[in-house]
Amino acid sequence: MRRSILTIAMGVFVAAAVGAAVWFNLTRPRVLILHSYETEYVWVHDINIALKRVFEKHSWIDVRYHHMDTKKLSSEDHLRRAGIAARKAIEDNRPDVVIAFDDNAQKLAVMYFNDHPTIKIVFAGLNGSIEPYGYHKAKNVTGILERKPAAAIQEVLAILSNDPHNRIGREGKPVRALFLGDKSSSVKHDGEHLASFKWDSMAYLGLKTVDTFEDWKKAVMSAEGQADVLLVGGYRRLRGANVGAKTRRVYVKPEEVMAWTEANAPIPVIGMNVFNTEDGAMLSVGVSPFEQADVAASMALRIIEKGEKPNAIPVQTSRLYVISLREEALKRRRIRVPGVFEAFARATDNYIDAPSGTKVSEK
Amino acid sequence: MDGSTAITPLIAELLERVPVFKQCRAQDLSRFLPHIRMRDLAAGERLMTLGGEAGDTYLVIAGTFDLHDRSGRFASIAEGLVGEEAAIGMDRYVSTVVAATPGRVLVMPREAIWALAENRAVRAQLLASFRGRFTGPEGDGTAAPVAAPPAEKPVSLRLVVGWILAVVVPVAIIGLLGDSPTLPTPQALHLLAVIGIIVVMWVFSLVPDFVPAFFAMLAVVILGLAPPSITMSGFASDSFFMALSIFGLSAVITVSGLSYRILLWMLRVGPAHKAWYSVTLFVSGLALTPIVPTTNGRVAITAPFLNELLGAFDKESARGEGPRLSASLLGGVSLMSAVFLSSKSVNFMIFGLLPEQEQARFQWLYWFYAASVCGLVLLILYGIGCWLLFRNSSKPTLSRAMIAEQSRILGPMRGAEWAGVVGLFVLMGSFLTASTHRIDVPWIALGILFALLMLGFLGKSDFRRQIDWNFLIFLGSFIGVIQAIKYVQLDKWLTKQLAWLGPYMETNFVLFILMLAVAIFVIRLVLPVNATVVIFVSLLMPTAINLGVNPWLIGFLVLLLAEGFIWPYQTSYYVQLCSIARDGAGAASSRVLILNALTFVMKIAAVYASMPFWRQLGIL
Repeated sequence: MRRSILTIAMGVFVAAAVGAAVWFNLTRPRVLILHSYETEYVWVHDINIALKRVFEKHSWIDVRYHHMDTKKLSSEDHLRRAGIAARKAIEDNRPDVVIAFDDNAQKLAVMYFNDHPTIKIVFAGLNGSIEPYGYHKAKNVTGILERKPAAAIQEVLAILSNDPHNRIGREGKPVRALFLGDKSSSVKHDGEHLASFKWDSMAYLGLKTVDTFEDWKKAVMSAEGQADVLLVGGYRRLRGANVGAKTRRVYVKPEEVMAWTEANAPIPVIGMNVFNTEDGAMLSVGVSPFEQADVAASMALRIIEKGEKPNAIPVQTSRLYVISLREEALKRRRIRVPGVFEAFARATDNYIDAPSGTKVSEK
Repeated sequence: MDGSTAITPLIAELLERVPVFKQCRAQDLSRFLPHIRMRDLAAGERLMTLGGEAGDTYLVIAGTFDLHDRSGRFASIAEGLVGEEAAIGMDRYVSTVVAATPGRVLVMPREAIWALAENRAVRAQLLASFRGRFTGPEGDGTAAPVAAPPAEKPVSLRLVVGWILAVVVPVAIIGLLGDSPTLPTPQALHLLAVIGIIVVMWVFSLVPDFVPAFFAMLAVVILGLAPPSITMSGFASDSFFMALSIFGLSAVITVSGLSYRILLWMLRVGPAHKAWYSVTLFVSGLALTPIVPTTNGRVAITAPFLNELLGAFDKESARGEGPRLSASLLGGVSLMSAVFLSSKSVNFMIFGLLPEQEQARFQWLYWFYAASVCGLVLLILYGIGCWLLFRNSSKPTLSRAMIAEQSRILGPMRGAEWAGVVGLFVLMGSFLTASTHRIDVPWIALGILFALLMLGFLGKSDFRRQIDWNFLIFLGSFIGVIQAIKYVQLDKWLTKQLAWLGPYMETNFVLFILMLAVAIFVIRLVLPVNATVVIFVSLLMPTAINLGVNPWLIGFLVLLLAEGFIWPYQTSYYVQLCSIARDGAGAASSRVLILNALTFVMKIAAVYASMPFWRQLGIL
């Protein structure tokens, strides 16, 4: 047999193999998961676990991840760089659907792709309204809002205050809760949401916002007498006296804020995000990251597999919650929590054990 | 007792005395032994005949033998080898050997001694013995005894000190930091000790570059510091396969002669002017930079042209132009090494150390794009530097007829060359259309390698010889060790130790660049490029990631600055150039050394000039 025939046969094989690979990849749906924060952050970690659970049953979908790391690093410069990198990741990957978690991913990257002809957007973890991002008008967007779990907070506080060991609130009177936060828009939105909730077994005293860490300290110390518990959520935009002199960081580190607050607050402090406990709070009731991921992933699958239009899928609001606990802080405040709380927190990897050998001085 | 059994120890003893066989590995000699027999000859008996089939080689162990060749030369042999023709691949004997007295020889069959001659040192000794048959050491007609093996090199003090430190340093690390509460885990301490050992190995060049990384990987697995799935992850990384594929494509381009053809073509199309010759050498090196991933390889391809150019010039012009051409060649092959992902093996290591999403971002094309402004500024400054330093009045020209003849001998493009061109275009095309075809570029590169292997353009032997497997082991091991560093959280500890760098990295990058440049310049006086890169990026890239500084930028800066040199000893390819280039080339002349020093300053200037561009890209 002539060599040229063999060469042609081999060439045809290579061309067919290349063609098949290209065709397969061109038709294979791709989802880009865009996180505002870094992989090690427990909120992101839980979301990714839930996403993997959903997408591993749909292995033909090519799932990519991009983390903007804007929690640990929040300088203006970093936000600018993270935004450029995230937009480039979307352009390079050209996904069929971008699932974007939390506000920075929307603000710095995804909103630039509103009404994009091929890229569909599913947002999740959005604290505020969708209007600032133009999602209410865009035809290629749907998602799930993150709303502070007011009902769950009320339930948890009722359980804690009913245990006389905890000495929360005044006897026979509803627990009074004050929401303290920075002046960011997400805190404002959370305040509006909590204010609109129908509180029945406890009294919500409203939102107090401050601009500096010094004002925060004053507000914390003066809360005794006014309220029985302090609700905290956003404190990442508190300016400090010496911050920014040597570095570009303008705001006080959140761990510093929460460590001080937990150590000095005269009344129990309840976080409204799971990460508040990681920062130092003794107990937090936050939106379930698993629900956010499950719902967002299901929406993406409906868009990809059923061809549904994003704007035909109604925007949902969070319903489920998780509890996170910090053992050391609970012991210091002599707060006793039901065993089921601890089991739930441990099951979702949201229980922070006291360091071994630590002596806790009770408040 | 069997006769052969009785004489075998004697044969073994005789072989061990002969210098040729001292070069052999024990296992080879052991395999060789059963093939040998002893033969006694009476006086006047013929051992071998001129023109007869060269079937055996003989070792004279007793008696005297007379040797005559076709031209009537005579030698008397009382020891050593005769009939080496059989051992060095000749079909026929070129002399006749007759026993002058009763004698005894060892008979070594052709096939058996061929297997031994695969060892280069043995082959060299056999050739030397054959060449010296008539001349002898004094040329007195006595056959030359087999050449003695080279004298053993004295042991270097550096090696002794290095190996002692390889024991002392890990013990010191464990002793000093054993009780440190800042170390996150006991595994982190052990890994730090292992890293101490490999740094000593690199600094003192105790073993080849890839061996310390291999050792570290092994230590991590054996000590249980990280699971094998983490430690071996480098061998399954995109970076590993990208490097393997580029090496394969580069092998086809080099072996097929495509790169040589391009160089000839450039000389043919340009004007017969000294500036063009200089540009040709520079551009040739530059063009080879992204496709031949080793600077030594690029020097090996282009340096012969330097010699040919200078050889064709008159003496005066060659002396005047030599340093300029050397500088052009040196700049062409090395200046843009950091600008292309595929230009040096160590660049793949930087790529492998980037977080996954940064790897997706800094694929070949975007790497080049991000580095392009720096590269362009550097090119302009280097051009100005060359023009200012090497001005002279010579007017050399080159014979176009010779270049045309060289091209004619090459003939039309062959299949392997076309395969190299197509492979290169497919790779470039895939970089440009990555977002459309949605296949990760490393897998396309691997596909190209597969096609080259399947279609036979890259043979089994070239696949084994032309691909830098040592580096691939280094790459896979090193990425695995870095993953292990993350696994035991040593990266966070290192970041804390280097926290003082944070403010500079974050807020005063201008000063940081200067500090980095000075540190690298000093370290490069004693350490080679790869070791410098490895040490700096191991410390700085994890720190950069934790501080939110783009790790590619840090890696690029280290690559760019570590490539700097002034004297030849600082890089192997500069030494290589000096050794290949003819005497008049002036590759290490004072003007070239001045340019080398200025190039380091130019690199810093180019980095500063690139800062606005990097800000615009969101890298800075």
